[in-house]
Amino acid sequence: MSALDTTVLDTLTESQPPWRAAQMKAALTAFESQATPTGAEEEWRYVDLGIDAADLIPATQAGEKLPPGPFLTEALAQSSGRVTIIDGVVTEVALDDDAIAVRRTADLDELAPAAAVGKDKFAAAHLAFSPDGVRVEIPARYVMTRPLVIDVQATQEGVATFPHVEVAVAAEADAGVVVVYRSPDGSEMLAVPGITLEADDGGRLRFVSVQGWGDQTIGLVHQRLRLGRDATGRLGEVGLGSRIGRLDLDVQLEGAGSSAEVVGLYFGEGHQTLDYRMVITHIGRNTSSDVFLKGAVEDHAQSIFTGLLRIEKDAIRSSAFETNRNLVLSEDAKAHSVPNLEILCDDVVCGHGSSVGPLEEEHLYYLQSRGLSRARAERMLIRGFFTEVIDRLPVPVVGKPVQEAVFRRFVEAQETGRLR
Amino acid sequence: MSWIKIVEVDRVPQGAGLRVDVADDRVALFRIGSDVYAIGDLCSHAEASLSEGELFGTEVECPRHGSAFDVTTGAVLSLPATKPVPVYDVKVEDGFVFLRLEVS
Repeated sequence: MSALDTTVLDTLTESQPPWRAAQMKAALTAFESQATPTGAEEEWRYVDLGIDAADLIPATQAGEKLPPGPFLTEALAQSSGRVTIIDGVVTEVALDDDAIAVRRTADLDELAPAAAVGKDKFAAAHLAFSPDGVRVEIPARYVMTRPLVIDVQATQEGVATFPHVEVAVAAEADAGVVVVYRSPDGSEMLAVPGITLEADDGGRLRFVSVQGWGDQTIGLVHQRLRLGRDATGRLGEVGLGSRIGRLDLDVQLEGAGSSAEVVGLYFGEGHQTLDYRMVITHIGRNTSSDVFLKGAVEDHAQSIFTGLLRIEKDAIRSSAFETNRNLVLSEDAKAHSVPNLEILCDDVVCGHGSSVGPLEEEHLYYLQSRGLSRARAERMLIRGFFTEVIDRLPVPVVGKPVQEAVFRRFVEAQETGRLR
Repeated sequence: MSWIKIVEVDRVPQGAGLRVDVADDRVALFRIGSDVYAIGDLCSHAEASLSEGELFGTEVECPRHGSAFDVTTGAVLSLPATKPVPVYDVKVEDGFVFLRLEVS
């Protein structure tokens, strides 16, 4: 059985409303007309997927629920509700906050894709095969005090899943959302989430995703953020799991006065590839954006950061900054960092910075001169390096488990002698 | 000095710390295997919380500046701290952690 087997699509479309069934069929055509990325494309440079998307077996039903991990447990401790999506199917919606509405795909009139079907083969696959999904709506002027937690699981070996999440923040509302991605270690699978985020005029969205896929999962996330007039979007992106973990982020600062902040951290080990691609487009005037990503790679892991700040011609008096700092901790690990600016307007303030390198010898020397062993000095520098970004995550409850996970990884690398 | 019931032993994470406040004392509990240890939570160097530090065997490393202490004795094992932290008598009974300390 494969994606091309129309019986899969028939199974998937059976329970869908007519508009969605038609959309799935159209997306299948777009899916079939595109090739699986080989790594030769600029957009997929450095990424060796090692799969042919034509062989995908899309999940048609939810598998068995995974036990909760540390990220989920901490996030749920102070949440306003929980949504569980297993293999693309919504299995649980439990809200403690009546003001928030969560609607499933079948109850909607349309789907807001995170990426156009022509973006890549996987964007088309998402729209063709996503069996279900949620649209979270926060009404105008409502302020959420605790975040909504969305638990996105992939559970079935050899299967592709397409979780779909939309968050719509109405005018002047304030919302917090945490998405946790996970799957079991040791099982090969593909997950292609589509995350569509919107904040209307004056709306504020704080969003954190913790990518904790299992070590044989390929996770390819398409995520879009659109901001209305004076709206604020603060994103936190944490990348720990997966064999290949990719975030393809598209931020549109449409409304005048809107502002976006993207902070993130990643830590790659083994043969992981962690791939962060983002395009921040300033359309409205007086818009501002700040991208701040930090990562470390050890063993044979590699990371990629490609960030494009694009200032459209009417985006006068906008400001845009991006910073990407990388620690390369082992001889065979690699970090690629490509910040780009494309400025079509002459009244703007922009800046970018990027660095790739090992822990600073001078800093290590200083700490050792104060009586710390080298191993201890390294741990202090790693802690300091990541604390700066963990402290800026827009939903603070996940900070502690993230800090612990990152630190544990480093200590493990240190104890097994993988550091150079 | 009397034994004070503090917390269910299961709430103390394995191989990590838990901070508990008992009257005026800030105590860091650590569980290593089936044993629980209790030392002062404030690092004697710059008052960071030792319960947030990393455990290496019976040694806890301060998250702030890397001072290290033996959780079984409170002894200081690494600069920049130079003074030990208090150590508390601790016992586990009926699934609860008890501490012995002075409460006024």
